[in-house]
Amino acid sequence: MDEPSASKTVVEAANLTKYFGTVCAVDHVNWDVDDGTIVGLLGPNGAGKTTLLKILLGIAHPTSGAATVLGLDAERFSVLIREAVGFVPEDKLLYDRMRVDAFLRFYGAFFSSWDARFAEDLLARWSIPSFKTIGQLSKGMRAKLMLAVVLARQPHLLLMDEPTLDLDPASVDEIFSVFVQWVSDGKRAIVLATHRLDEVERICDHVTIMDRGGIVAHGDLDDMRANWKTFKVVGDLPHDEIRQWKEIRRIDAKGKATSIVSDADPLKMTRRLAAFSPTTVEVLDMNLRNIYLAAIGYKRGRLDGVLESMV
Amino acid sequence: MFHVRPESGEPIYRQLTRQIKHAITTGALKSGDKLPTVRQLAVDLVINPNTVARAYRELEHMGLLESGPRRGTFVKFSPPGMLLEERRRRLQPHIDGLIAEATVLGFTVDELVALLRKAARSKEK
Repeated sequence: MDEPSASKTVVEAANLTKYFGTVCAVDHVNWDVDDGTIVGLLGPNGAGKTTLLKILLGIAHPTSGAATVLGLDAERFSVLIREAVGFVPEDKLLYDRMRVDAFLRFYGAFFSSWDARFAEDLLARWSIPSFKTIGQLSKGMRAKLMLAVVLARQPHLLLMDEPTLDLDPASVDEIFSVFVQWVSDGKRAIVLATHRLDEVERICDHVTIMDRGGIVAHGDLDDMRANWKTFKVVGDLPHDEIRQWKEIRRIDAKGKATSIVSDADPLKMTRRLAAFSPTTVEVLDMNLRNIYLAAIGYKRGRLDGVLESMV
Repeated sequence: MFHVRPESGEPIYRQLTRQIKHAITTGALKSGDKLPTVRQLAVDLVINPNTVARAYRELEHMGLLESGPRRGTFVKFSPPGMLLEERRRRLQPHIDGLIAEATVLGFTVDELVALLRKAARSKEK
């Protein structure tokens, strides 16, 4: 069959909370990831993305709540999960003096699911010389090598923290086409924690935005683009009343001009705003960058500044 | 053949459906032509396979594409159906704009329809 069919849940987090001392790093997170999807996990530094991934792998333990990965409890089955899940950490530890081909044999020996041919194919495709030592490789090549060995384990789920940090644009395209192929049978999933909104906008079908430990937006990216709109209204509006509507994510007023961001049902929103008989109502599409800024800006109440970059 | 601009704010699947429809209306794609598989197009454009699948699905619903297990996805050329769809598509932004404007000015749907009828009748005379 040609068409990917996403249905099975591979990650389930319920009320997941993690405190480091008095700091709440993950705040009552409820989160699902389905098979066959690529999820972009976004948020400012310190939003809780890395901690969330570490809890899923059983490296960090939740203060309360629970997470299952591939149906296994993350705390109790950490070893099993780490075997079935490919984790590409932000800081990539490798053995500098080992040759690439020796490293492949060494690394592969730890995993029963290891596909040596797949690893060699990827190295050839990505032009990583197998006779060089890892220390002789460029930063970008090391990043690709790490990715290649993780992929060659054939993990059901890939968790990646900033995988493209050291890569040039052409390399990013190369690894992304592998990711796309990777999930296209609908039986694998990828979670991509990143700051690169352009990359997420390109290959992710779902997006989760975190801020201060909580999830401030989550969903199918195309649905988000269809539902999130900026309304530019000129005229008198009862701002305090509108602020109470549950779809409202931001509201900024300058004199008679009001800019409103809502996250659901744009047509209904247009009607509700029109009921106040304003002079004009303009409905604008939002790209992921605008959605992201509105989602994190809303929660922090940082209303100025962000608005400027949205206009 | 197709290209997408992920940053545009327009959902990628809609960019794809638009381009495929355009290719069919202009004759660049003909009835019976085989489209790339979901996987192939996703890899070529480096976009999510679910996005491609969604675009193909929508075009199937519109009757412009046809797909079967193992055979792949083909262009299904049915001129009247396609032309109507295309004509509607071109009219739609004007309708949307009119509805938005009418709503802002406080007209109900019935009033708008009545105005349209009246305007059309006076044009006919």
